[in-house]
Amino acid sequence: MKLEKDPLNIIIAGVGGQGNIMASLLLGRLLVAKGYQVIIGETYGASQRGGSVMSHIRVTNKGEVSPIIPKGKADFIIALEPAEALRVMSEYGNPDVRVISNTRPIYPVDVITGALEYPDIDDLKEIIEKNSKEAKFIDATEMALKVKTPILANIIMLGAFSAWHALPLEYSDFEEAIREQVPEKHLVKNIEAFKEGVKAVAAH
Amino acid sequence: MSTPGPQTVMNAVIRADLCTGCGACVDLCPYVVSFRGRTVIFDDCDREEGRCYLFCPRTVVDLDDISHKTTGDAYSGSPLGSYRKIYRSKSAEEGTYQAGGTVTSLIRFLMDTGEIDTAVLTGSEGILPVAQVVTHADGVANAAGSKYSAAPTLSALNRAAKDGAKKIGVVATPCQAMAAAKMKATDGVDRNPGDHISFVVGLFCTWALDYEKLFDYLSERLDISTITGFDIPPPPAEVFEVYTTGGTQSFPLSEIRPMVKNSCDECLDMTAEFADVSVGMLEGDPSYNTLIVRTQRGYDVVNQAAEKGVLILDEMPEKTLEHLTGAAMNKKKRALQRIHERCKDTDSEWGYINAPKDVIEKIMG
Amino acid sequence: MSYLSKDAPGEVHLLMGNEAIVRGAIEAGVAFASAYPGNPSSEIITELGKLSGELGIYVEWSTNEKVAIEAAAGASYAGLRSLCAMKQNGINVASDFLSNAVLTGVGPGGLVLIVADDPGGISSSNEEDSRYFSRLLEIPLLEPAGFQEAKDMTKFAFELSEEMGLIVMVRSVTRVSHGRSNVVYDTIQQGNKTAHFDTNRSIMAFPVGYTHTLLHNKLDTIKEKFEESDFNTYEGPKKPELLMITCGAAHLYAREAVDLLGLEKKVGILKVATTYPFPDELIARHMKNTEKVMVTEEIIPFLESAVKEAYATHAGDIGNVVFFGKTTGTLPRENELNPDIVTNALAQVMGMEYTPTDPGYMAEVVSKSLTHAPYRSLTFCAGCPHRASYWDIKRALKLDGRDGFLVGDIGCYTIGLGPQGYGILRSVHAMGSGSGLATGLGQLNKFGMDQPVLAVCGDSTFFHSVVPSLVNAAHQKSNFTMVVLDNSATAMTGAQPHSGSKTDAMGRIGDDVEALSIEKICESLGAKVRILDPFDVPGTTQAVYETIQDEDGIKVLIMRQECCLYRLKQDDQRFTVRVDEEKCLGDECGCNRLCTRVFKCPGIFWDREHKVARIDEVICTGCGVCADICPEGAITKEAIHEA
Repeated sequence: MKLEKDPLNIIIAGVGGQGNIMASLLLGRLLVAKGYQVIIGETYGASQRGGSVMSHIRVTNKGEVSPIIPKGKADFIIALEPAEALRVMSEYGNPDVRVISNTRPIYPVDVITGALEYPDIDDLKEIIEKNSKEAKFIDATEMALKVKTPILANIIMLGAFSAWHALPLEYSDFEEAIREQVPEKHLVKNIEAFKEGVKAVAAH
Repeated sequence: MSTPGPQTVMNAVIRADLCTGCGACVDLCPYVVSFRGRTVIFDDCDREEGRCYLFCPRTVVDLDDISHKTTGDAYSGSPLGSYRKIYRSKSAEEGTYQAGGTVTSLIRFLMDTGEIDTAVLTGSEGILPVAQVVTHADGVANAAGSKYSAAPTLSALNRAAKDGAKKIGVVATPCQAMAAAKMKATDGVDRNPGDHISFVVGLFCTWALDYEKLFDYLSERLDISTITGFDIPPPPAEVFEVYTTGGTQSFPLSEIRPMVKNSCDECLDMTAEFADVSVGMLEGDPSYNTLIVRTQRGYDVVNQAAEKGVLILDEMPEKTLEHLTGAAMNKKKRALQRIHERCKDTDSEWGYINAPKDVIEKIMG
Repeated sequence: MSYLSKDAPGEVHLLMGNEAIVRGAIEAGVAFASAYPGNPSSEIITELGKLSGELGIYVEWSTNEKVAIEAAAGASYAGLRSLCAMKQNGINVASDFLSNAVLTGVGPGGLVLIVADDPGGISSSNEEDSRYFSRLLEIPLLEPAGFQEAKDMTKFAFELSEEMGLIVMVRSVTRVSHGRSNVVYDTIQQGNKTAHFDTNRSIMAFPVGYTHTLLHNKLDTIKEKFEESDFNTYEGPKKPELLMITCGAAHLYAREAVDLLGLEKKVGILKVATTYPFPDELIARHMKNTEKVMVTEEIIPFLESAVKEAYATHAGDIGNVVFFGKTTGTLPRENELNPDIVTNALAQVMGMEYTPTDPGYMAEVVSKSLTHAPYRSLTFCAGCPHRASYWDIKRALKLDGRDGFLVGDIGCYTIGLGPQGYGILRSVHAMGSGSGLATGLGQLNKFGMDQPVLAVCGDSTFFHSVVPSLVNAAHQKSNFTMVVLDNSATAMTGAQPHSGSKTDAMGRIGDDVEALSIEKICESLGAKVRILDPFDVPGTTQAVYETIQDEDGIKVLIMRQECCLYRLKQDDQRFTVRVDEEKCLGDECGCNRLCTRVFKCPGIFWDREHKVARIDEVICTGCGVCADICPEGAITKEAIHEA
């Protein structure tokens, strides 16, 4: 149960309503079952649908530590929305951070009203690539829309992240966790989605 | 008036209480409506350019340009504006009219001959004047009768144009006629109702009352629902008469005048100088109208109407014309004085009026 | 069988702090639980409610926090272990009862009060530190500094409460309540489930001087216990260069800071979890071993003051000590703490430099994020009925033209303060403060005020605190319009049921639960009541306009439309909404982007390239209001289900 880096810091970032918390729980419970100490910090409450949300996941053997990752100390960023990837990087990023990001924008209300501009997605990708050790981009929402369930983007992203083998976990560990935590009626779709995410990273 | 766009209309006209309530900006877009005679802004528009600015009779008016484009003449500052002929006129048709019935007959004539397919008129709901789109000759008579408070008549023009009316006749007070003239004079703007105006009948106007103030004043004194009409008898009466189902009540004009709209103080135009024809009372004879014929089109239509036996045209008595001219001149002078008082220390010392300097001097005397 | 109620001592589960509290209560054999929803405490009763059937216990969402603590006290007097939970504002509401209960005592069933504070006021109207209530009213206080402790201290709180016959307060903060970590389960006690009220007892505070003395005696006993408590821990060198004294979530930051700076051999961390009555002898013993003390806590220097008092008492023994904390400017006095603030403060005190990462990297990414990560303002969800309600009210107020305004209180509709809510809400205070202000404002006609006054509240808030001010307004015939935004839930905190709901915390429906009618209550007060659909823009605008012309007493407008998140959960979207690009005028004169720029629904976005509005199918919840307001009829709505 040794960790290469202790604590190992993972951030799942997105926009309220994308299923950020569900993804962090899936990962967290899986790690606890494997014997790790996990501390998760979330932004809840007023971070309603449409606001920026983050889950900070810390994997450690040092006992209970801060649920919020210190600035500049993220090891992995899983972003369900591309601008959120950059936002999180600006606080918690560092030259060694590895980023996996969804490509579909969710427009803030100030962009909708015309007060602010949303960046060109290629510019955004370039900035993210330039400022990380490794960056991968997945069209997770497009993939999820193909099965008419946009919320599955979070599971697809988790699948993509798993293919990085950042944690000493196997595919089977993830599948077991999904089976345990996802209700029966959604099971097949979720597992399919997870597999698609894995494939997407393998394809790069 | 820094940026010549919707913001100017909203801040320098409507919020500055200089809005005439003509309705030119109403129903062009979702931001402005008219409610109980008041122009209401729901939300601000941040466009740099807008039709509201181009059409509003209280944003910059280049009087010379408008005059050329309407009557073909330069703006000379003459009291009654530019015209070809003045008659005393009345309807030849049977019916009960206000005064000579010239307006009603003219509009019906225009409709019957296909000169217009739609009339934009001012009707009433109780004592509230309302803008009406009339597409059938029968509906014209219902809108007859003077209105004493400002009505957003041009909102009906905007609606009619949007709904596809191609040849619209408008009965317009001077500020409304000015806005209609600005519309017609504006080129290269999409969805311009001016492109569909076929004929404008102007109405004489000295001032208009603020509806809500009138409503509050009258509600305190009688049952509004019994009111059938108003009248201001000629001097020296100095009263405002209210006709009700239970008889007539009189109120001192001195109590009514404070309810005149602020914007009327800055109006130079008593006889709707930029219409095709203008119609008003005839002093001393309630069975006739004063009819001023201005444009070639106006001239042609009036003559046709006379030939067809719809209108009776007679000579305008000289003394009456003198009085009318005097009154119109005074209105011009007073308005310019008031504008100058308000604006003398600003970028634009004559407010919204853009006229040659010598013309302004001529009016001021 | 839920993972929370599993009878599995020794098992490890990933639990939220609030879940750990629930587990602690279950292990203590809790029988009765009550609360009013309040972030960050709401999950406690939600989770207990789900388990109520299985555990055979009673759980309720009470009308407000005073009712909640009183209901729980009732159960405690009948011998049941009872739990009451609230956020920091809630203890203000409950305090009048608490001020009496400390003198009357509680029990025989232990009564535990959980208060969860919101440092930084991330979802609150203030960032009050509830711990001062424990000093003010003299209530024993426990502050779990982590997730395992949240469970263990809750369990302990019941034992302590029963032993001493006093309410025991357990104080949490957002990062503990909403954070998650490994929690090891213990055995589940059955707890007393037979209720009986002993009529030989007199539960009262009289004579006050006497009962106050009794209270003090109890507190002295508790203090002795706290001096020896295993919950207070120390890690670090015997004679640290700096002693950090912490409690609550700040303890986790302190540990992080020491780790980041590699100061394990120089800095000791004394975690105090039993903070009132304060174990001053314990603290004094540790302060003897050092000359520098740094206190870290959230929010107000409560612990810091206690530490300094302890120093004053034992100064002779302790010798020289320099203090660092909020009162010395070492730590900020407002807003949440986080590991960076604490680490930087510690570095400063220890005369060290701390650089989290390459400053060049940070500068570069921060500058890029300013242009490429546009800020997400707080706004109503796509399809929220409040957006439509405020739209309608705004229009009615403009038509009226007398500068009418809204005063209100806390809920999702608080967004009405800002541009996303069209700025028509002009004041916000506590629950029910809107109608409170309005009952006063509505009497000011005699002082020349003719502006229409409207108060706004939610359906849950109505029951919480609005009724008393409406009673006042009805009796005094105050002239205002009460707008109740009824979206059938306490939406802001997660759509919990309330006294007007058909169900309750335990999920019961039918005869066991009475859905109280807001309109009937208002009618019984003699108010003129109308029920409106905010999605009917012209109808509701007209109704609001008409209502504010009426100057005779109180008028109530109930704007009733379900919270769109409800509909989403039940997969019950009403319309498929589309934009006809041919008809869309976009930013041209005649529209100027009414739907995106002015209505501001996040389900629509402006396509700059093609200059048309588009519906974002992922965000849109199908309410159809945009279709009704589009001036060109370019937005269409197609019903999904047959009516």
